[in-house]
Formats: sequence, C-alpha cells, structure tokens
Amino acid sequence: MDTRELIDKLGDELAPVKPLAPAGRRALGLCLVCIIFVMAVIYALHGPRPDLMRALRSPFYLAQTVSMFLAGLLASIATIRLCVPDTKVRAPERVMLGAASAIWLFILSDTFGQVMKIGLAPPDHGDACVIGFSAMMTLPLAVVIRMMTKGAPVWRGWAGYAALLSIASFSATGMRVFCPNDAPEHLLVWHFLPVAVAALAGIALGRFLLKTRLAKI
Amino acid sequence: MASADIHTKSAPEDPWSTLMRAAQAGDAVAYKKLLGEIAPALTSFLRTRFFFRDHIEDVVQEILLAIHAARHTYRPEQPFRNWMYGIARHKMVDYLRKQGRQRDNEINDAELETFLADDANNPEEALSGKDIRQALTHLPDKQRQVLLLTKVEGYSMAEAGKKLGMSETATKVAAHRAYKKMREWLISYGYS
Repeated sequence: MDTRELIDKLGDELAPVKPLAPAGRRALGLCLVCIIFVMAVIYALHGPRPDLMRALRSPFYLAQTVSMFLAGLLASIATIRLCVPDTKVRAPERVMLGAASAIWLFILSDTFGQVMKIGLAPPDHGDACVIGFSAMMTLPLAVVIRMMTKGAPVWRGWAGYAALLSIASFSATGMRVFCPNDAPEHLLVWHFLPVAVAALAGIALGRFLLKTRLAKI
Repeated sequence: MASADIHTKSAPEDPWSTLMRAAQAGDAVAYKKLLGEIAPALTSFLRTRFFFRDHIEDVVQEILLAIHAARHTYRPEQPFRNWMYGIARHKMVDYLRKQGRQRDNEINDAELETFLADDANNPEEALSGKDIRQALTHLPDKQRQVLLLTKVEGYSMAEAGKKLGMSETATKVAAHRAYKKMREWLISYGYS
C-alpha cells in the first residue's frame, strides 16, 4: 500500500473525535480524584490521627504536609501536560517536575538527617502505613493510567515518573493526616521512601505500559 | 525544511492547525488535504535524520497512522508542527529500536552458510512449513500476529484488527509489510 492510498483510506474511515479537555481541567480532575479518594480511605480506615489539631499547630508539620501536597499538585499538572505529543519536554513541565522532585529530595534528606542525629534505630512495624499508603494509591493509579492512555505521551518515562510522583505525593500527604507516628525513622521508611520508590517505578511503568496496545501511538 | 524546534508560527495562523480542527470535526476532505501536505514534510524530516533511506515511506506511513490514532490529542492552542513532529520523532525512534532488535535476531553469515550446506535446506525444494515458520520468527510481533490471525486462523482484516486493538487500515498495512519482509527473507535464502 503506498502513502497516497493510505491517506485515502484514513480519510474514508475518518470519524469526528472530541478533542481532549484543556490541560488545566484534566489536571484539576486528577487532583480532585486523588484528594477525595485519599480522604475516603482515611475515613474508611480509622479516621484522621487523633492529635491532628495539635499537629497542625506545629509549623514544621504544617510546612512538610503542605509541601507534599504542593508536590502532588505540580506533578499532576506535569503529568497531564506530558500526555500530549510535543517535540521535547518543555520548560514548564521541567520546572514543575523539578520543583516537585526538589521538595521530595529536601524532605527525604531532612528526615534522614534527623534520623542520623538521634542515631540509627530499626523502624517500628509499619504494616498499617504500607496498607494505607497502597490503598490510597489504588483508584488514583487507575485514573492516571486511564488519563495517560487516553492521551498520547511520547515521553513515556517522564510521563510515568510524573504520574506516580503525583499520586504517591497525595498518598503521603494523606498518611501524614492519618498516621500519628512522627518518629523520623518511621516517616523515612514507611512514608517517604515509598514515594521515591513509586516515582522511580513510574519510569519503568510509563515505558512499559505506554508501549503496549493500551497506548494510542 | 521545517525543523522540529524552530517553529514560530502561532496556531491560529497555521493552515495545518485549521485543517486539523476541521478533521477533528469529521471533515474528510480537510483531513486528506492535511495528510497529503504533511506527508512530504515528514519525508523531508526523516531524510535528514534517518539512516535507512529505503524505509522512509514505511516510517512516514507509521507516523500517519499514529497521527490518525492520536488526532484527538491535538489542541488548537498548541503549535500543530510541535505536535506532529513530536509524534514523528517518537515513531522514528520506535522504528530504529525495532530495526535494532531485528538485526539482533538476524542469522549471521556463518549460520547462513551452515544452513545452506544442509541438503534439507536446499532452495530448490518447495517452500516448506518449516521455512515459513522460520520466516515468521523474523517478523515483528504485531505483523506476525496479523498473519497468523488472517492466514492461519481465518479472521478477516477487520476482525484481526479488532483483536489486536488496531484499525482495519493499520492491520492491512501491517499485513502488507509482513508479506514484504517474508518475501525478502525467503528470497535471501534462495527461494525465487
């Protein structure tokens, strides 16, 4: 089949399509899904930590939680923008992903510093945190995969990284509202490292998933 | 030639953007005009970047199919050329990766000599099922599946496409390429 023939065939089978909604609206949708679902999981388990009001009066706790939430927002917008083909990953996406990653690098290094200051100790069991963290990621993960495959990301690794960083950030924010344990070693092992693992796994997931027949191109 | 990174035209002034918006609304005439205009631009784009000159038409067709599948992702506020060349670059890289994988699977000269020295592989003999199976193993997954579904299991192109998540046209293109590759492979082993 030559190219002219292919063009005629594609033209003949053309059906109207609904263009993707604006990136802002889709990003807002993704954030809302994450926030509402994380809150639902918190209440479905045993509700927010009992000392939440007291914790919110701590500037450190507040700054850390807000930063994690902000990282989630930035990564969500970057994810959505990366779902549309472009010749390169443009400056806005780089800045957003860079800022979200920097927030997490700072949180991880700061918490690691605190752990080193008080001396290395094996962290307590964090089964409930692992379950909570994973549960908070389930529906957002399905939604973000659906959004990515509905679009056509050509930068698969970046898109996967942004997507997982985004939903893991929202889950980690939820975990700070859910879990009353503020011990640095607990936070590092059971709350923050899973975000880094999820984000790195996102690169592999993006590269694999967006190469399968689920992908548009 | 337009370069992927130096497009300065804004979307509203770009005639391709206007044609694409019409195509999204279902205007087949505008769509054929658009594809007819971008195909030579894509050919030029590939000529300056692509080593396999003989394969340029194949890659252009792959890009056109990808543009067709992803046409809903184009948004008028984005320059059309960035969107199109983003897809083109992606498909070109994919094609090069596939070529690399196929080269890895190719039989080297020593293996070929051993193969031809074996009487059982005498090219004078009729095309055997074994050779066909061998030729099939040299096809990319999708092309092999298209052939197996249509020629072995008896599905129509449309049905096979549905099973593989491809449009009927894409399935036909894949089948056409599979025949071409099998023919080339069999000829390289002495079949006429």
